[in-house]
Amino acid sequence: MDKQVYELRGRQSNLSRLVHFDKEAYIHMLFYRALIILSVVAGAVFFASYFFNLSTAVFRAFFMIIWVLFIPQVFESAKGMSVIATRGFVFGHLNKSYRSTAEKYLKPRAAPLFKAFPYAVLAAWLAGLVLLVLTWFI
Amino acid sequence: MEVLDYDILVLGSGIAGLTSAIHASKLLGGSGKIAIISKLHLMRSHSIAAEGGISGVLYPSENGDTFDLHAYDTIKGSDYLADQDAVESLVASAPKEIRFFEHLGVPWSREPDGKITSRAFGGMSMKRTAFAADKTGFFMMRALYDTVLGLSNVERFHEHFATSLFVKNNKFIGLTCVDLATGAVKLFKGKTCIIATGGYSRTYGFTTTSHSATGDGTALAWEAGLPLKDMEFVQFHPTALVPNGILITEAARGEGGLLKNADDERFMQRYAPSVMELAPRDIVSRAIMTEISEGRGITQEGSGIEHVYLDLTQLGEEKLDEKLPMIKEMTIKSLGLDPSKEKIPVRPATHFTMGGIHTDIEGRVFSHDRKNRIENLWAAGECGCVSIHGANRLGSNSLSECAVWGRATGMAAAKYARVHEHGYSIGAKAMAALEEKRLERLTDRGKGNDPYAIRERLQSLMEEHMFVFRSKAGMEKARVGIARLKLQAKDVRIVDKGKVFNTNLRDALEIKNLLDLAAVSVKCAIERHESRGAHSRTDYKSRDDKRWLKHTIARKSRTGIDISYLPVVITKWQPKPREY
Amino acid sequence: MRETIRNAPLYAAMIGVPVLMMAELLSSLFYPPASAILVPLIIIGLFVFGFSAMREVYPKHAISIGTPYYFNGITKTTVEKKEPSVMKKNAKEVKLKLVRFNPSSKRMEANIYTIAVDRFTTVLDALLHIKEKEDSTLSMRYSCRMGICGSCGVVVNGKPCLACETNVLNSTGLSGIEVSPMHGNPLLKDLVNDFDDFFRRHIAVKPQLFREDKVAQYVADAEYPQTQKQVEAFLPYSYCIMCGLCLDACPVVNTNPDFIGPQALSQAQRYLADSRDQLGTERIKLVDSMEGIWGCEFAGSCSKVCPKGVDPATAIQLLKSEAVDRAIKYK
Repeated sequence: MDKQVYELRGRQSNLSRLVHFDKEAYIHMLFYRALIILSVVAGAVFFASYFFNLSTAVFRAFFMIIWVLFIPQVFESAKGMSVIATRGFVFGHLNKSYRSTAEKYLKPRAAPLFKAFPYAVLAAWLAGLVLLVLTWFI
Repeated sequence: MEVLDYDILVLGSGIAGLTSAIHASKLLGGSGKIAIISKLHLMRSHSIAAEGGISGVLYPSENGDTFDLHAYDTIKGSDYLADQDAVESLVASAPKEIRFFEHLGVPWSREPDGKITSRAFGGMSMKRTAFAADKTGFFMMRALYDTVLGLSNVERFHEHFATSLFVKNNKFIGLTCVDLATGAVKLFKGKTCIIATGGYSRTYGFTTTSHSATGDGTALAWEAGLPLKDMEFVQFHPTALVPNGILITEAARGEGGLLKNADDERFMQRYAPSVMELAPRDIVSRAIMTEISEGRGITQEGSGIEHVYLDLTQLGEEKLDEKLPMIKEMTIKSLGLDPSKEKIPVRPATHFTMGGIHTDIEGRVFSHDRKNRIENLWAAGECGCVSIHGANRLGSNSLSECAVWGRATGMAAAKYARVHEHGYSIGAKAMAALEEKRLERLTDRGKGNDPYAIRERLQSLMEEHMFVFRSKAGMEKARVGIARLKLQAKDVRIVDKGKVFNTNLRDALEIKNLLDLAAVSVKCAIERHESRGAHSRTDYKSRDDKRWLKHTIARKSRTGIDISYLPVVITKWQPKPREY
Repeated sequence: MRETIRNAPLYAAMIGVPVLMMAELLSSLFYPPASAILVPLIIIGLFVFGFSAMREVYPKHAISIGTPYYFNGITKTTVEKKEPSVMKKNAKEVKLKLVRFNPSSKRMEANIYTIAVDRFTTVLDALLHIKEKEDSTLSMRYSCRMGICGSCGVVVNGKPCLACETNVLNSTGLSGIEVSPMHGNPLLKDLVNDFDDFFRRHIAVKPQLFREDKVAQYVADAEYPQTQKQVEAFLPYSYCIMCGLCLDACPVVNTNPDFIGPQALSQAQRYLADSRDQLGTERIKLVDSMEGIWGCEFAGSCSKVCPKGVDPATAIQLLKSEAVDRAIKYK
């Protein structure tokens, strides 16, 4: 008699399970999936602008959508770099007791800088968005 | 019915079981197959909850520690009931086993120069307990499990609950299991079998052990007519967290934790002035229970359980994080109090069962006649009783025992399997068919008694009458009560009629095992007219070496339980009064 | 290191496109002619990013293991007993919604129980109480009840956690508390998941200490020297209790079961970082694939739910950087 198992995995809708415990990851995943499709579409639109006379509004709209969708990616990529550089001592969820004992061996001295780095990158990226809006619409 | 054939069957997947499988696999090489059978997932056995460490004299030349000293501590701790030849072989092999585990990947805590660190433990006169923070058992289990995954001749059977053991003409021929995932009954035939199923501390409700520590292997052996040894000796760990019974390792006291009563007094100075909190477990448990019964305990708000305090505040946060991280994590998670700031509530709880299947020094099981051995059946770890723990186990000796006898039984089984052919086992299939019918009838029965109510009654009986202090009247009450429960258990009701993961059936079978073992334990305890180690009677208050320096051997007979005695092996150390 | 090299464009584009877009924004303000170069680069970057990420997120064999999945909506809700059955003294009443998988109908069902709990009651205590007193057909895994055996992974109020470590009162909201089985592992019955698939993933990364001196490993005359600092390098990853919660939380495993998952990868890192291990680059090659480290999208939810602080997300990022390092070194 074989074991009967039932699979609930394999659907994109399962992403919504993240809402209950990790909203940041949910936004990250959602934006990423949207970005994948829209980046190809936007690439095509930008490419088309060389051959057809597209209005600048379309160009700008796509540029801005991509910019917005990149927000979580930019932040998480910077975070990933910080995590690698500090072996998880910033932004990681390492065991608490382990953290306090291993700090003296493994935590780099520049840890506070790495902690600030993703926020700085995010701030720059958001400032860019504001600048974009300002230059194009005012 | 599915019939599976193996050279070696390892029943149970704790440290003893997995160690024996690894060594057997190594010795057999490509020439034989091994099956590990567990009622849980292999890596979830109760060994995983061992915290403090494993004892062994690692660097004898350095701090003046010797094998003899370790042996003496163990024997004194056992109240001289340990077999001294077995203890000597334990202490001689233990250091090698610690190094072996290091080679499998256990992250032992280290000295700055790369050597393995040791810590102090109760009843040990030197620091000789190697440890990996306070998750020693966990790390050992994971290293063993991961190593087993890499062995091509070992097959793993997760979640197979063994229901019977077939022994015929002093030879083991096979065992039946229920595959929990499908409900199918399987027959495992084997040239040899190693039982490593652990203890039966779940006969008590307030215990430090897992829900799965129900002594199934011991009960199957009993059912098959094999004798059990020293079943009256049950260890009570002095410091279990109130109210849930989670173990607070002895290492907490080894690292400097203090026991305090309601008056904030270090009461151990009145019971064991020379070693204080680091006295053996039976002595500390009795001290705590005396404090509580004399009104110096504290009643916990909410649960109403009486307890004393374990004070870890003077250790400081840093030491707790480094040496006792799990204790900190668990007290915060389950009680919401931080051990570095507040005292934690503790009281004694059932922790270990010294008794078990009667084996010789190699771990080979004795047959019903108590003289011959069953040539292809071994028992290792807590379920067996080689008798190195005697009447009271010293902390951290259990892991050494599992490792040493795991290796010994694995090697012995592999040697046997290499030279012997598959034996006569036609009877096995018929017996297994009967077993399958029995389980079917059990599941199909419409009405009967609720197994959980029986277990609750059993646990409260054991807790009331078989706890730290025992009296004749109380134990008689327990005996009568258990006999009544056994009658009720013949007629249990299984509500779950499904085949897939029927835990209701599994629980009913476990409860029957618990009842069998509890009955033997109580009977042996009534018969032993003295106080020795963990067996402390209010009517016979002192140790009586003249009459009782002997092991109790219990076996099944037509009338019930048949008790006989076996002398203790004494090599170098003559019994002396036990003072700390 | 094939996949490391194949994945380089994606990671380059992920960083490059934002940089180029920023440059384009600034150039439009200060030096407009630069656009002539930047816009084509952005277009290329977007295409590279889009097409290579598509491979990661929508792989060819999206559903390849196990039997087909079923509708996971709850089809039947039963309200059991209005009277609370008292568990403890000084108890409080709590509504517990128990979602369970019925293997015969292949549907999720929900029962609502009113139970009385005190401040110490864990979800496991509550479930055991239901099993013993109200419905003995309930199946779940449990053993040590102290958060070390890893049996009792369930989902409480949508968050994967260990039943024995979760306090009922602390997790009860206005609408009560909801307990359901994990979705990120195949289901067997009620709250019980099947772990065969999980164990296969674990075995795939060769989770053993590999030594060239096999004989000395078993004879064990002397220990392999290791300093406390070297121990700390792999220690947190060795805390894994194999409870399966990280797989349940991982959005990549949930959408693409081919991804090997955080648990196995954290174990790869555990043995790679151990100074006693001698498998070396071979270990990285085992996980250097789209189903391995490069499938990770760094959502980080595995680390958020890990009850032991193993931090698989960090482990995987460290593996990625190690893979890149070695790909450059041993090209």
